[in-house]
Amino acid sequence: MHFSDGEIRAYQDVEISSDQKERIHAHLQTCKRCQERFDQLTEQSGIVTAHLETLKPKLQADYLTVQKARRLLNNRIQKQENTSMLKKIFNPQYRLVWVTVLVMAILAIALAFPGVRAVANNFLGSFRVQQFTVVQFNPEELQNTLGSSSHFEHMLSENVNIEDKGAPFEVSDATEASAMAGIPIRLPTEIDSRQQIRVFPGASVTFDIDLSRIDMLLNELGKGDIELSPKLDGEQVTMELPTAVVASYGDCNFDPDTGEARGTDPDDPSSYASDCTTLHQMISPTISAPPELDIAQIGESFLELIGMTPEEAALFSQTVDWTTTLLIPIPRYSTTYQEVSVDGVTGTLILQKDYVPKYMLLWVKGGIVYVLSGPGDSSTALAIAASIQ
Amino acid sequence: MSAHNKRKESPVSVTSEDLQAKSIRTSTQILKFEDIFNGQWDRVCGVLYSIVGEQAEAEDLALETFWRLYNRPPKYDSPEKLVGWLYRVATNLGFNAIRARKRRTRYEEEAGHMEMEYQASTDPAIEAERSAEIHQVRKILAQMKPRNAKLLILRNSGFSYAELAATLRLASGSIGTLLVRAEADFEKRYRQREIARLEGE
Repeated sequence: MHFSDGEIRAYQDVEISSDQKERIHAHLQTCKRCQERFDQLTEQSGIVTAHLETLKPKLQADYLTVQKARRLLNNRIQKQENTSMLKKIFNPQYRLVWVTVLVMAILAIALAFPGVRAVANNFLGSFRVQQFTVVQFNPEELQNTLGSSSHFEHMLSENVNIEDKGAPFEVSDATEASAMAGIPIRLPTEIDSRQQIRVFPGASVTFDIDLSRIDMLLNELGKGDIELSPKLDGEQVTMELPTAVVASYGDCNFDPDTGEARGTDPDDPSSYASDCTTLHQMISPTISAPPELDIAQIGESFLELIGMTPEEAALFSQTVDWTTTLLIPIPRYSTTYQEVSVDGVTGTLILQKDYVPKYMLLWVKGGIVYVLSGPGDSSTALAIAASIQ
Repeated sequence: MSAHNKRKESPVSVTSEDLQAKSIRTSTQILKFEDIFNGQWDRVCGVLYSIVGEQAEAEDLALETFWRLYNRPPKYDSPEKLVGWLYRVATNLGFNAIRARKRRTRYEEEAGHMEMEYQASTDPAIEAERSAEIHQVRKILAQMKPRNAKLLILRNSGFSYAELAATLRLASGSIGTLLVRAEADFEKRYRQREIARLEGE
């Protein structure tokens, strides 16, 4: 009987019981074959160890002291609190719904501060997102304001209805995706990872305006002095999210169980979908609102809610065409944004600084919204965007 | 949709005292976060340095690892499994960072990264050779099956078979065999690259 490679290796590493050690030792004295294998494995182990040793620091490593590291950990815990909301937005699972969430958040939150006035000669029946603008805010403030509001949560759960138009499904190529979405689907060539194209059949989102609930919310938030137009009660805001096509590249599969098995945080799939690049395409969503809804006022109120003074909000509001612009709030910490030239139009590039830096590049062209996101910096984003055909 | 609004607690200001008081519960005992942090900090840094090759990045990733332990400690029935989880997270983060770097280098100058691994020395020729060797070893590890690469890194960082088994969720009786296979795979890939390099010269 001979010993296996694994047993010989464990013997070399002194990782066996003393009984077993004695048996293998005695066997090696008499068995030429096992002795030869022992020598081969010793040589192999020595060679590999020598290569791996180069990965260690040349000198004695001088890592941060535990005390310094603990201070940094404190800072990081606080910083992570602030960036967690953005991580959710960048997370592949949330990317498709973020438009819904943000638009409805703007509408639903701001309806609590409408300063509503009927503008008969400025009727706003519907608008279509044609551009994006970014505003930075401190997530803590919003969480403090609304996170503690039961009325707000009830309003979102009872007055907001999302009707899916079907489950997502995979298609084989851009031609099939184009037929399903009704728009010419374009794909980047500057990525060599495995491509997967999925079609999301869209959704219809409605928000029923319930003035009594909004009144309660206003009082809860200490804004009971705001008067609401009774005409709004029972009215409905509707957003139509058209069919979207998502092309993904790299490791984009999200499975909490797999994540747990891999030792990653199951609630933070971005941590192990860090090699995932996606391109979303859809016809720009439309929002239909009652004429009493003054979008500019709502926008300004929303800006105040996320931390601007009324003066700052008014000033910012003057630069925005609220009927065509989707406001994207991003945390103040760890993120930067800039206007960039992309695909022949002006787009918005949001960069998140993290262990794996991420980008989100948004633009609207020909009535189609494009959202490219993934790991990397601005040059990565622009190189991939430039290769879209 | 309500996922964004369910969080009702206000963000808590964390102090060192909070870290000291934080405890991690297993089914058999309660461990102090502080003890795990103090006991494992240098070793986690060492493992991550072996993977990423840069001290600052290794420390950053180590902090991220401990943040995850602090924020969402896993539920395990023994301290060994808990520590195994810690190193599983650390090695995942390390290899993820390497993969992201690999992707980035497609758009950047490869020489830029080589430069990062180059450390000043009195003998530039020796240092250049050492830098190329490190680059080579790291590339091979990145191409190997993740489990094999982790086995080699962790074993070379001094992990016992029991620790390897707890970290990689393997039977301790299979570690010897898996190490032999991983080393054979590494050696074969190294030889192939050397042959390719010599043929290219």
